[in-house]
Amino acid sequence: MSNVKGPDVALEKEQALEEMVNLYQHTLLKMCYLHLKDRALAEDAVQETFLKAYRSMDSFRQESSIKTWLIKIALNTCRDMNRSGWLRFMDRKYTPDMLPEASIPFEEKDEELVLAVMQLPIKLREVMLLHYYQDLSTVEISHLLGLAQSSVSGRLKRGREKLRTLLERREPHA
Amino acid sequence: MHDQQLSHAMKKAIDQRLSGLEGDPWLARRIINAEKGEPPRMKKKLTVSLVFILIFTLLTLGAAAALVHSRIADHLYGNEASVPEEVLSQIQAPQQTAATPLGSITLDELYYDGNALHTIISIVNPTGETLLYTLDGFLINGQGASGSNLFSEGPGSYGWLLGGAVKDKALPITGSYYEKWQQVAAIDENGKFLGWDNIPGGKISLKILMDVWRPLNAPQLVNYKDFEGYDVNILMNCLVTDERGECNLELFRPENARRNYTLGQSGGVAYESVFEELGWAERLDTIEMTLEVDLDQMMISRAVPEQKEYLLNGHRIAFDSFELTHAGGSLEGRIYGDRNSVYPFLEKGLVLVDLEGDRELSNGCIWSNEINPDGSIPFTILLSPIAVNLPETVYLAQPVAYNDQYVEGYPHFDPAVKKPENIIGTWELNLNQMLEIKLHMEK
Repeated sequence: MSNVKGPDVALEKEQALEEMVNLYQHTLLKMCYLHLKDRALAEDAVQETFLKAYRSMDSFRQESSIKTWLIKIALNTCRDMNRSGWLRFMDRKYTPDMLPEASIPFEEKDEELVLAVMQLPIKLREVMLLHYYQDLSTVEISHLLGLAQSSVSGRLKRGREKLRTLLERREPHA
Repeated sequence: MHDQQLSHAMKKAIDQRLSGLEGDPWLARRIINAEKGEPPRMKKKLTVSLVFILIFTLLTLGAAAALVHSRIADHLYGNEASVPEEVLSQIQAPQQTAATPLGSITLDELYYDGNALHTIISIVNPTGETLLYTLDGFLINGQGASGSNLFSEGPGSYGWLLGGAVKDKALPITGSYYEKWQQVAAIDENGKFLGWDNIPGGKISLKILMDVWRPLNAPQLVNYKDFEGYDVNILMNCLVTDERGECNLELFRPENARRNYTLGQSGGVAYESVFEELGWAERLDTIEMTLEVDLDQMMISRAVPEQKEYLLNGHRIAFDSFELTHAGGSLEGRIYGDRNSVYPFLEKGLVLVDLEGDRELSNGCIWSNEINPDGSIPFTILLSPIAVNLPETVYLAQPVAYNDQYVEGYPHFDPAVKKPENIIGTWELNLNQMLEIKLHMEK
């Protein structure tokens, strides 16, 4: 099967990729970081995501938004990386000083919330990030993860409860 | 906290606290280059294999003729305990060497898995002085193969600074690397690049061109991790290497030094003046090796299915090609039905599993938005290398949910918890709706 393509089609694809990278790189990088808890891995995951998107651009049918499509690829990529042997040996304890240095000011509660999100079990973390950070509806999440809507709602409920517990634990005792 | 408040709080927290994650301004360009054959830069993966450079001595080079241990197999199977004997026996060790007074190159290992040509090439610098070696071409029947051509369009790729000493540290005098060549460039009569095509099977002519350069200014030895940005070329007006001798020229080639050229022209020739202007290196020589190889001789057994039409969840499926080998493979098929039902079906994904062996065989499913003349929708499932025996029966299934808590090494894995039968690898499957596919072996 030949996959030789004409130069015009190739140029259009390159322009589309540049636009996608400009629009979504930052948000995907943060999401991948919260998934993988490692900056270099997250950067690799984002690179891999756009590489896969570039390769399968021809088969993207625009029935979902580009953002949702990219998120789906990114999630699968992160999952693959999470399964890799490398992460098996990573220390998963996470402290504030292990977060990447911020380039703009932030409040202490922001840091606490980020750390609490990172402590959520991965299944809950995924749906919480997709819903509250990426603004995806429960219907979109159910399509994206291949889960029933009721399961998504259930995970969101458990995620909120767990997050509240984690944040309460972090608050200094009087 | 209401949903809206939580959403606002989470966005603010993530965007502000993680504001230091700034992304890569060159990302799109590097991906495009990678698709044109230059490997993307990966920062952290155990697959040193993909980025390579294994340093070894001339002694081991001489002893490599007997393939007791294959470095290509290392790349295919990673940490797997076993390597299929059939694959090991088909990996060739041509040990063909081409040399000039300025260096020699040896094709240590060669393997064709039906889709890709895997190679291990080693370089030796016999001169005692520090020289830079760059791969200028890897040609199959005169066509450049993907991943080849150091100076293909855009910045990228590697060179090897071997011999002599930099900053009082001796550089290795030999280096070897692994590369996987998957496609060949299609070019028109003017040498203009048209796209990529599959590697032809059968007897092929293989030509390897390695350029030799002499550094003009004293090279620097650095830790690449200190230069994750792309401005090191401004800081250093010379070639820079790490301790293994690997030069990542992608990092050090200014964008404005790019040269346009056709595939009919040697990249080394096109960039000769650029390297001299930069004060990096002067081109001295090209080491050229040509050999004839019969790719069909390296073919290994493959498991193929009965040719018939299958039915999964009410959708008729036919396979155009289905090859499962120890080195991986792919499954190309057609699915029939109304696109409004077929696309949602495909979106849920398709995985190929070996129930008896309790493992996933596939690592991705893609499909096309172009409908076949017969109304079917084409899809492809990519298959992973298998180190153990090939299964006699496989199952095509739709995942119900992702579930990795039973995967060893994952944080939630608990060996005391028994894995349910419907979890294969990381997928929870509906065992009542799977396509059983009987396989037989072909050579």
